[in-house]
Order: sequence, then C-alpha cells, then structure tokens
Amino acid sequence: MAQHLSRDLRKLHRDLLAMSSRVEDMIHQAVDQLGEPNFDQAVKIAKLDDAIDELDVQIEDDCLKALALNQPAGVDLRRITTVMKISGELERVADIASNIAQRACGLAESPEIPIPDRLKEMAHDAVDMLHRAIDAYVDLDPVKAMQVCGDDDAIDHMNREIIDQLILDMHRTPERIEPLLHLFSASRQIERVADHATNIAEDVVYLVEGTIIRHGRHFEHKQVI
Amino acid sequence: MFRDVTFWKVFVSSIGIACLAALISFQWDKLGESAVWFGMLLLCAATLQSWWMHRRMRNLLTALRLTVGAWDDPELAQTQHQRLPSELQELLQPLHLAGGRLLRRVKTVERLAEEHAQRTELLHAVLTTVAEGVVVVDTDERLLFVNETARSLLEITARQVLDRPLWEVIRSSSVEEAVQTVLTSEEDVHREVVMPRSKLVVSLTVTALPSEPVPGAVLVLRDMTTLRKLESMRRDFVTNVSHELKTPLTSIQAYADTLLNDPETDREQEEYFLNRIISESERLHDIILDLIRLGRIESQEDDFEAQEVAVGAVVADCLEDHRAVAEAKNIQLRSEPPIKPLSVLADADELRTILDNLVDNAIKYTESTGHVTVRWQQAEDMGIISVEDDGAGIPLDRQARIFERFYRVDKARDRQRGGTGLGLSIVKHLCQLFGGSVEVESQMGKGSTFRVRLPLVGSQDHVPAPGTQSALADVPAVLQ
Repeated sequence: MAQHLSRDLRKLHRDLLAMSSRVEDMIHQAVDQLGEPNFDQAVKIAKLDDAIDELDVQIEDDCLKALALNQPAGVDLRRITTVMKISGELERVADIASNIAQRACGLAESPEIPIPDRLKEMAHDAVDMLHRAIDAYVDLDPVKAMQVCGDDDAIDHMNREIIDQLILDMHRTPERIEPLLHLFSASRQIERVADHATNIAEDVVYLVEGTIIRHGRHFEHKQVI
Repeated sequence: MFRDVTFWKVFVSSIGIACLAALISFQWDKLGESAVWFGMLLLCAATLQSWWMHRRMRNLLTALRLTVGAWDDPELAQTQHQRLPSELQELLQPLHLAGGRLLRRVKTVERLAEEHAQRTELLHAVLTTVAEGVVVVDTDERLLFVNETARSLLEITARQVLDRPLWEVIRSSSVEEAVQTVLTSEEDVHREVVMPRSKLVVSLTVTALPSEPVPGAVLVLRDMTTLRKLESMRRDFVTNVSHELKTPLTSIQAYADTLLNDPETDREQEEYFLNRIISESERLHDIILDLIRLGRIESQEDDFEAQEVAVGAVVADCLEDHRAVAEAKNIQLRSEPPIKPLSVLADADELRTILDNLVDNAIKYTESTGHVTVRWQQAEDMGIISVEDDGAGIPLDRQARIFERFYRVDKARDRQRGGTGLGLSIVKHLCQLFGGSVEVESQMGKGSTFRVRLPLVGSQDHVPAPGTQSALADVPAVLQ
C-alpha cells in the first residue's frame, strides 16, 4: 500500500510540474504578445489552454483515485489535496493567458498605442510571483511562499495606478478608447495572475505546516490534519 | 629448531612420566610417604614444562604475527621470515609470495585510481569552464552533472541540483520533451528554445550517452541570443532601408505620372504636385546624404580633428538656429550653462551635428507648451551634455534600439514627423569617434533625456585609434 501511494504521489508531483512549466510558458508568451501582437500565436495559446484543461482533469482524477485507493493521512493527504488545488489554480492562469493573448490581438486591430512601461513591469512581477510560488512548492519552502503572498499587495497597488492612468487617458483621448479598454482588461487579468500565484503560495504553506492561512485577515482558522 | 629440541623434550618427558606411573602403580604399597613427595616433585616438573611450552608458543606466534603483518614491506617481511622455525618458514612461503603479488596489484590499482582522479578532475574543469552549457541526466532524468553555463542559460536557481529530477529543477516543457524523446527513441534532438523568463535564445542538442542499454543523455546548450538579435536587426535594416528609399520614389513617380497623363490638371494642382515632387526628392536626397555621411564616419574617411571646443558657444548657436521652429510649436527652448565653462575634445562642426540632431528630435517629439532644456557640465574626466524634453517618452523595451539605423518607435507617426531615421545613429557614431558615448533615459508620458559624454581636453586616452570601434565591437558596423 505504501509503495503504491509513494508511486502515485511521485506521478502527481511530476504531472503538476509538467503542467506548471507549460502554464508558465503560456503566460510568458501571452504577456509578450502585448508588445508584439500575433494572431497565430494567440490561436496557439488557445490550443494550449485546451491541453491544460485536459491535464487539470487528469490530475484531479488521479488525486481522487489516490485518495480512494490509499486513504492517506497526514502529510500525504495534504500533498494530494494541495496538488488538486494548485492544478485548479494553474488551469485558471492558463485561461487568463488565453484572455491576455486575445486582448493583445484586439490591440493589434486598433490604432497603435504604446504599452505603458508600468503594465509591462506589473506583468513581469506577476509572472515572477507565479514562478516563485511553484519554486516554493518544489522546495517545500514556506518562507518563500510567504514572500510571494506579501508581494500581492504591490501588484494590486500597481494595478490601481495603471487603471487610474488608463481612465485618465480615456478622458483625454476618447478616439483611443477601444485599445485603452483592451489594456484595461489586460491589466486586470495580469493582476489575477498574481492572485492565483498567492493562492498557490498559501497552499504550499498548508502543505508544509498544515496551517490554512487563506482569509487570515478575516478570521483565525488553524487546523492540522 | 622446533623439531630438534621440543620434540625430544616432550618425547623424553612422556617416557619418564610413563615409567614413573608404571613404577608407582606396581610399588605403591612399598613407597609410602616418599611416594607422595616424589609425586609432588613430578607435578612441579610438569608445571615447569607447561610454562616453558607456553612461552615458546607465544614467542612463535608473535614472530608469525610480525611476519604476516609485514606483508606490505618486503624487506621487513624477509627479515621476520628468516627468524621463524623452518617448519613455519615453509608454511608461510606461499603466503609470503601471494602477499608480494597482492602488494604489486594494490600499487597498480592505486596508481590507476590516481590517474583516473586526475583525468576526472581535468574533465570536470573543462566541462565547467566550457562556453557551452552541459547537462548530463540518467535514464530516470536525474541530473548527474550541470555546469555553470547551463545553470545560467536554463535559469537554474536551486543550489543543490545533482540527483534531482530534471523536470523539477529546470521546469521547461521544451527541454523536458527533448530529453524524453532521446531517452525513448535514442535519436539525437536539436532545437532552439526561448527561455521564458530571460528570453535567451538557446540552441539545445540532446544526445544519448554511448552505451547499451542507454545510461542517460547529455544536453549541450549554446547561447544564440546575440546571433538571432543580429539577424533580426539585419532583416529590419533591409526592410527599413527599402521602405525609406521606396516611399519618396513612389510618391515622385505617382505625381509625375499624374502630371504627364492628366492634361486637365489646373495650375494650382500642378504647383502642388511639383512641390510634392521637390519635397520628396529633397527627402530622398537627405537620406542618401545621411547614409553617405554615416558610411564616412564609420570608415573614418573624413579627417576629423579633435580639438578643444567650448560647449557653451556651440550650444548657443544650435539653440539660436532651432528657436524659430520651437516658437512655432510653442515650445520653450532653453539652456542651463554651468558656473565653470566647459570645453571638450571634439570637432566643432561634428559637435554641432550631434546637438542639432538631439535638439531637433526633442522639438519634434514634444507637444505644444512643452520644454526642451540643454545642460552641460563636467563629471570626473568627461564632459556631459544633456538634452532633456518633457515629450511623449520612449517605451523601456525600445530604448536600446533607437540608435539603430532607420529604427522608429512608432512607425506611422515618426515618419509623419519627418527626418531620415538616421539622426541618432549618426550621433552615436560621432560620439564613439571622439572617444565618448551617448545614452538615453526616458519615461513614458514624462519625457526623455539624452546624455552625450565626451572626453575633456588633456584626456586624449579616450580617443580611439583610427579604424577601431569603441563600442558594440561585436555588432556588425552596418547594423549599428
């Protein structure tokens, strides 16, 4: 039984990291699209999103089988539930990548406007948070995970600044409202990438320490299985 | 010695004990008390015999231990061997010979191990310092070797990577796919991979390790970023130069065709068309002149004489010439001279060209009611002239390319603003010619600052020797 569980956990770990590397590639490609929109690349990202959806279902299925067949407890149970949750977060990041690529194509159809440096900076930081959250999962490092959680506020702040600036630009140049709306949407999507990275980091803290830190600001809820 | 002494002593003692035992058994009644004393004497003799035997055996065993213990020292072993009784010498002779053979083998193995360690160390040093990244994995995709170049190219940040799975440490779907293909099909894979975070273009070659069954794979990585960037620059240059030359020619041809084929064109239209032909011809003429000028600067055909040039005077002349254009756009053009006058080592005419291009650009890209300010000062052993505007600014990711020939940040709008697209390239090459440099700092929506650094008088060390490039030496001159 222990050998079966160990084998199942190893497979889940590998599948999740394969999924994360694909999703990271997708989000990088999508963010790069903002600078140089490319319809073919957007279609490719949409297809990759379908593959990620399949992988998400497969990982969830494997997690449920592992739970049913091995009835794990303690850290093994936390590992399986964490893999299932991170897989869900990554699937949503892949959806966001597809959305950002579509927004970039929308920008290509509109009059050319330069992408604000601040938006590129936010995109870079958000994608970096995702990478560090996965690093924390691989290294089982709750300190690294907490750092990721702490960086989310900076991204939220940048998003608010960018949106304020975009609204100002809309008032100033109403003829450019369509591309500015695409940028508005892209900014919110990138901010959500940081949110999902934060969720993954919180899951890592739960995996290592058995403590649920999500919504920690609203209520104290600590539970160790 | 053992056989000669001990055997006979034991033999004689045994015979004596046997005779005494027989005598006592037959004459017990007659012996009486004296028999008891005799028995005690006999017991003492037997005890002494045992003690002597024990001592003798202990000495023999010690000699044997020393002889066997000295197997790895042939001279000592020989000395010890000769001290042993002949029986033991015969017994130990094969063991002694085997020890010698074993010793020779051990020494051979030690020498081979040392050579192997030296070769391994050399191989490790070569693989570590080689310009290419090298990664070795086993059949389970566990990392056996990763050199520093590979760490850098593959963005590996973890300290401990050996014996960990490739897919856990590198996390690149392209690299993982290539390794899996080689491990399953045993066919080499060669592909280019763009690393998602660093954007490095990496040429990846994965080969199965030569053995049966395949013990793993070796990944060789080469940084192709600079080469691919140069190729992209070359493509852009060819596209841009074609476009820049074709656009005015097409206009001239179209206006001339209209004039020739449409006899009903009125005088006003004719004048408009002819003026357009003249302006497009002038534009074409300017581009060709700038290209020739750039070529001459690069090849250093013109004999520029670097001499002491007072920056204040050149700036004043430049601003005076641009004042009318600036006022027409309602842009405030001003200079902020330093307290101490500054002189740099350059050619006065070419310094004027540098300033003309920078001030002209600043006015073009600054909206009405904006400001263009020229400052100059000394910083260490260089003179710095900065042209600052509060115009549209340049996106961060495009700042590195604005000194390329014909590169335009916003293609459509920049062409409408005029210019040949070669101004900043000329500025950069002139600065390099005088041993200086030019750099830009810009923020979107807030403006740009171009800083020209030129050597001061008395610091001729900065002037490059004729025929040398001071910067971007690895980039083909035609693309800079």
